[in-house]
Amino acid sequence: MERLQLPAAITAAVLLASAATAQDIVRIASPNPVTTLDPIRSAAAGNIEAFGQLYARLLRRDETGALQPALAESWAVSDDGLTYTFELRAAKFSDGSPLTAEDVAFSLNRVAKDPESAYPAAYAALSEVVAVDADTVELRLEYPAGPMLDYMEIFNAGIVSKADVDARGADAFAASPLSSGPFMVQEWRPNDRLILAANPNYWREGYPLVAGAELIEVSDSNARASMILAGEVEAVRAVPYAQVAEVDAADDVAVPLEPSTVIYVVLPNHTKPPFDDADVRRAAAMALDRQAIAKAISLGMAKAANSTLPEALAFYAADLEGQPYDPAAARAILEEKGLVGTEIVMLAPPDSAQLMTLLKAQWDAVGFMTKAEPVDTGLWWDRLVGGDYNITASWWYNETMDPDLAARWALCGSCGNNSYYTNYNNPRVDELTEAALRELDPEKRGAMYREIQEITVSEVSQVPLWYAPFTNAYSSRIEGLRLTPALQWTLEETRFTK
Amino acid sequence: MRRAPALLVAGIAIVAAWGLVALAAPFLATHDPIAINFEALLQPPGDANYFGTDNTGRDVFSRVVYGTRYALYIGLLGVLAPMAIGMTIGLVAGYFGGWVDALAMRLVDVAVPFPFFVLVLAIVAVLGPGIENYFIALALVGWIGYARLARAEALVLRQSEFVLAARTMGFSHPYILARHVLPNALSPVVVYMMTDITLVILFGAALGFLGMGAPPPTPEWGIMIAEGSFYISTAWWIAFFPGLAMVMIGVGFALIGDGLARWLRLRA
Repeated sequence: MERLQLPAAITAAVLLASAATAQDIVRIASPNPVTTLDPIRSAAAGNIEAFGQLYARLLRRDETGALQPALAESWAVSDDGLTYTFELRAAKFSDGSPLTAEDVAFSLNRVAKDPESAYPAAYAALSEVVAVDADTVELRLEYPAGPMLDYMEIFNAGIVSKADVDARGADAFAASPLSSGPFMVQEWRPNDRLILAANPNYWREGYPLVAGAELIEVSDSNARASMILAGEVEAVRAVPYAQVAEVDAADDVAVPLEPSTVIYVVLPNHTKPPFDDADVRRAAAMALDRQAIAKAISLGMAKAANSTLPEALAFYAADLEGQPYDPAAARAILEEKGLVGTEIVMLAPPDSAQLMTLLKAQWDAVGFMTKAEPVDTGLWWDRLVGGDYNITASWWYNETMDPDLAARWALCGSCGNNSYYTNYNNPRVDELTEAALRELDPEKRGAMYREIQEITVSEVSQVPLWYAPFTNAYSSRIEGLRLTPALQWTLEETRFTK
Repeated sequence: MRRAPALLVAGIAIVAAWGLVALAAPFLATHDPIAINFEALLQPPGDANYFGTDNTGRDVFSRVVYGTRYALYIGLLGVLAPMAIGMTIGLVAGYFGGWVDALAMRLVDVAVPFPFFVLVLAIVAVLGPGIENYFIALALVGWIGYARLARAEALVLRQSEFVLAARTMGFSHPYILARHVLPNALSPVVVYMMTDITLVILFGAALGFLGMGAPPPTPEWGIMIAEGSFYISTAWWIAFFPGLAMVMIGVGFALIGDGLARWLRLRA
C-alpha cells in the first residue's frame, strides 16, 4: 500500500505546486485511464469520459435527458423509418476549419463500418450515411431502428475531421485530434493526465464556461479521496462507499449519489448442472436477501435490484416484482430435487471478497455447498466465456440510455454475447429484442422491454443484486458538473463559484 | 551465556502462546469465524465483539483466533520444502566441491538477482491463486538461502578431522553426509529458518491481501487486512487486529532466531 501511495503523493505535490496558476481549470481525478482519443476505438469508461469533451455530436441531451439539437439544427425521419435527414448548423473544428456534411458522413460511416470500431453495435441498422450537400446529411437504414436518434448522441457518434484523419492518418489523429467538442487537447500524457483547453471554435457560443480541464488518472481510491479533501482537484470519480460519509461531511465537498446504469448481478452458468434448471436458479435467487446485501456493500447507498435491466435505462420496469427473499422456499426446492449439499464452484474475481462471503453464506444456509475459487481478472473472463464455472458475480453498465444494447449484451442468447456468457437462451426474448429494435412507437417498445424483463426475472437468467449509483465527489468551488448515466461529464456547463 | 537464553525463552514463550491459541481456537473463539450477520455490520470493539465486526458482520476476534491456524500452518509448512531442497543442494555442493559445486552455485547465481517476492508472485500468478501453489513457489525459490548456508558449513566440515577419519574408515559419502556433516551444519540453518518462517507468514498474508491466497471467507490475516483497508478511517479494527497479531507472531519467531544465534555463538 505504501508503495502504491507514493506516486499519488508525488502527484499531489505537483498539483499543489501548479494550483496557484490553475484558477480556471477544472481538475477531475478518475481511476479510469484514457488510452486513445479516437472516438471509435474504445468503449472503456475512461475513454468515453474523454470523447464527450472532444467531439460534438449531431444531437445532445439536456439536463432532463431530452434530445436537443446540437450540430444538427433540425432533422426529419421518413415515414418508413428508413431515412433520417439532418440539417447541420455552421460549425467549425478547433483549428477553425468548417465542419461539413462530409465530415459527418465520414465519422458515422467510420464508427459503423471501420474494422477498428470498438462498439459498432449501435449502428447495425445503418446501411450508409451520405452527405447530400454541404449542410445536409442523410442516414439510410436497412431496417427501422427505434433508438437511431438516441444513437446520434452517444459517445462514439462524435464528429471527427475527415481532412485531419486523411492527412495525418488515424494513429496520429488518435494521439492529438482536431476537436469539434467543447474542449480541445492541449497536452496528453498517457497514464497521467489529459489536459484540455476550451475550444474557441465550439459551435455552442459562450461555452464552455471554464478555460480548461484536466482528466487526471489516479488509480488508488484512498489517494483520490485525499485529493478532493485537500482541495487539489475539483472532482473525483468513484469514492469507495466506506469513504463517502467522510468525504461528504467535509465543508466544501459533496457526494451527491448520481444515477448510473451500473448493475451488479449473479451470473449462473445455464449450461451446467445445477443451474441449467430454472427452479434451482430460482432457489439461488430466493436464498439471497438482496436488500441486506445492497445495504451491507454500499452502506445503504445502493438500491436492491428488481429487474435484469439497469434502472437508469429507458423502459426499465420499476414496478416489476423481483424474486422474493424466501430461504425456506429455496431450501424446499433443493430438498425436493435432492440437491441439498450440491457443491457449486463460485468464481471470485479480485476485490470481490465481501460479496463472495455474503453469497456463500446465504447459499450455504439453504443447502448449497459453495466453493469460492479466487481467480484473477484474465482467468475470470477465460472461465466465464468457456463456461468453466457454476456461478459467479459481476457488474455491467450500458453506455447508452436505450435498452437495446443492454438487452443484447445481457439477456439475448443469440445476439453475440450469449447473455453475458451465461448461455441463457430463450428464443422469445431474442425475438422480442429484435422486434423492439425495429419498432418506432415508444409505447410498443416499452411493452416489449417489459415482457423481456418479466421473462428473464421469472426464469432467473441472472440474479439482479443492486443498482450502484455513481459516488463522485464535487468541490463547492464549482457548480454545474455532474456525470450522466451515459458517462458524460457536463464540463461545458461547469463554472467556478469562487 | 545468561542473556541469550532470555531472548530465546521469550521467543519460545510467544510462539508457544500462539500455538496454544491455534490449538484452542474453537474454545477461545466467541463466534463462528465465517458466520455473517447483517444486523451487526462494522460494529466497533465491545463486549459483544471483543475486536468488533467486519463488513459482513463477522466477529474479528474469532477470525483473528482462527487465522492463527493458517499463519502457523503456512509458516511452518512453507519452510520445510525450501529447507530440505536447499540443505541437500548446499551440503552436496560444499562436500563434493568441483563441478557439482560449480553447477549448484551457478543455479543459485541465476536465481539470486530476482527479488524473492516478485518471483513468488510470478509463479503463483502462473499456477493460480491458492496456498498449495504458494508452497510450490516457495519450494522453487526459497531454497537458495538454505543452500548457501549449508554449502558454507559443508566446505569447512569436509576438511574437519572427524570427516577425514570417517572417510579413511571407508564409510560411504551418503553416510558421512547424513551422519557427520548434516548434524553439524544444522544450527545456522535452523537460525535462518526462524527468520524465514516470519517472512513466509508475511508473504503468505501479502498474497492473501492481493487476493492470490486462500479463498474467501477463510479467516486469513492477509485477506482480513485487505478487506479492512477500505475502512481504515471508519472501522480501523478490521485491519488493525490481524495486523497486530501478525507483528506479534513475527516478533516471536524473530526472537527465537536471534536467541538461538547468540546462544550457539556463545556455546561455540
